[in-house]
Amino acid sequence: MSTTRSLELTPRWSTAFEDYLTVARFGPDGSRLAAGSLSGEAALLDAETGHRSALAPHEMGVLDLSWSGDGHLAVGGQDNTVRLYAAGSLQPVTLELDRWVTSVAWSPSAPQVAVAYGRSLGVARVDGSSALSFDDHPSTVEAVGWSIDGTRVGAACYGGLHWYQPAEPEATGRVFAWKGSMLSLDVAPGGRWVASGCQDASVHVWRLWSGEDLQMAGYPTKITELAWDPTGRYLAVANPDEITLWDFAGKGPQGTTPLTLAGHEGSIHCLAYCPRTGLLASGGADGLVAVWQPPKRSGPVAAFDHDAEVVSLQWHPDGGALVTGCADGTVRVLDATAH
Amino acid sequence: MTTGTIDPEATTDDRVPVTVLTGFLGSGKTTMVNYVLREQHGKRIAVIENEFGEIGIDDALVLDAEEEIFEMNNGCICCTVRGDLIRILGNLLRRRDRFDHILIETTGLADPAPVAQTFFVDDELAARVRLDAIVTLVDAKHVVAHLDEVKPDGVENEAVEQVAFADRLVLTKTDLVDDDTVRSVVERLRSINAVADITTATKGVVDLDAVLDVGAFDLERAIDLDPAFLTDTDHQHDETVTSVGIEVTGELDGPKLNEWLGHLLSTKGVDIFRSKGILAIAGEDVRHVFQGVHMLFDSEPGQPWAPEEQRTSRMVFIGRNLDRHELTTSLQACLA
Repeated sequence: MSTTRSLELTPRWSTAFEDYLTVARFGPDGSRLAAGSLSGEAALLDAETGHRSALAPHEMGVLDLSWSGDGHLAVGGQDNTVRLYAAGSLQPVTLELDRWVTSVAWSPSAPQVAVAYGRSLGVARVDGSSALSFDDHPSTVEAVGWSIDGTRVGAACYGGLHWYQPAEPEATGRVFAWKGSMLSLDVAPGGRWVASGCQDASVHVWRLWSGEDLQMAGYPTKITELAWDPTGRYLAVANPDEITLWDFAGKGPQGTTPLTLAGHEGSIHCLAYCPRTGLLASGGADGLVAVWQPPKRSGPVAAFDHDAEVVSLQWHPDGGALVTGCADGTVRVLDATAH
Repeated sequence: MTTGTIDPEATTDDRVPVTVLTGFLGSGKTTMVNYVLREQHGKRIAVIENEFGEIGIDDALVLDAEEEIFEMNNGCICCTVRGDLIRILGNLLRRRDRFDHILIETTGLADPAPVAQTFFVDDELAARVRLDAIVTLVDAKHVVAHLDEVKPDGVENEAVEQVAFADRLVLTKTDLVDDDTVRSVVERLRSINAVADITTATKGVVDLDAVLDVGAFDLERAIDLDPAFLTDTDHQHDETVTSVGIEVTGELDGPKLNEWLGHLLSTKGVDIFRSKGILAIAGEDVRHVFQGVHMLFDSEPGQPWAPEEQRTSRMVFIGRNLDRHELTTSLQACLA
């Protein structure tokens, strides 16, 4: 991990979408990023210049998008469709579904994508052929995610996390049960744990695959933002205006007191660890993007103020930049320069 | 779980008002929604319901919602919320496009509590929308039969719940019954819910001001109760659903009141469907408008007191097994 002393965030470019910027994500090689807005606009943006190439719109709004490791892109929205763009193509294959597409995630091991729509978790191949659908979850599926080896796919919904094996669709799925509405699904790098935030203001971390459930309760509000550090040792939780950092080394965090990082003046909407440097970025309702150097207890090593609430955040794969998305529709790339 | 405090520091409210429309199948909800969508009222309205599919109509937006009831895992038996509303409204409120009003239509057999509780339990929603009113449509021809229907033990009579929860009762199909029937229906509704304003609609036509933006001011007026209601003692320990109104003269001690209400609603909240109040808090220049749904409650500042005005507080509880004497002495014990 880096020993950054200070970091400077300077804007490289920004561009405006017409409404709330739902999601902005760099592609795997970092040359382009994809962004989508509640206006329905979706676009590819050149990482260096911000030059925009429009993608097919999603009427009523883009809700999520995901890149695969080899550059395939999936974009889902409130128009009940998911569009799949094979690497290098601007011509999508469109899957028409019957509910909002709330979450998409590519498998880490094969060219197939998990799609949450209504109470279903679907798995589709990059050519749009539908592989599988796991239906009738207890509620709308809020988030989907894969195990590190890509053999299992999970759905977060009311009642817990539901896991399936796409290669053995007839096999009975596993459920990591919790009587509450699970809002996210984040598998730790290394694959030992899966974390999920809950509407009831608790965080659940299940050991893969024993299913042992560690709970971190007592937060003030529902948990929507979690992030694992690149080693899979630390879990950062935003709630509501502070970040708590749990250490999963050794016996795990149960009974320990987490480190707290404070500095935002309003709810934190997004968290992102840099896969290269281990720096943690946070963005919030106060318009602030702060960069932290956990597990150091000190304040932010860098900060940048936006004119609107920061609602999406991701590091460039090389660690030298951040993309931010704002509630007013602005997408901005910030250079992150170490001194 | 009990949330909420009587907060003298609460500021002016720019949250989007939400009306919850309930009523049995055949009570005219769809007719009413269509009327609200068609009527030129100059408001941008978002309607959330489960029949139309998603369409935009002129200045309105209609969103489809499939009811998803979540129990909150915190030991509170009556704390259920509508998960679908958290997601759909959360998304709606992020848009640049601002709505003046949100109307949520529930299914005919719905218990209004999960919808109402959603706005107290989810902080993100509570910060951006406020429950303006629960409006219950009542079919004048059939409601008494629904209210009289005997349910198996442990099963709620949904018609009674919907009437008990209402801030506004709208009588429909009055053209199908005679005046005596209307009078007896009103009397029956009053025996359950003594404070909801009762208005009449014919063929879905109702004064929209009676349905939208009912608001806290209306609450102040609604609690301007018939004095007889404040002393009515017929219904002590009554297992049927009734209303109890209490009035005390003088100023209440804020901390004592919070402690009592917190305790009352956490222990009796299952039986107390709604609670409302206009309160005189010691040291405050304004009235405090209080409302609760089962165990959850909230308050906001209301109209200022005139300089020499006699400070009085009024509270209303709607529910079953209400003990007027106990409620009255407990509130009196909160006097400063």
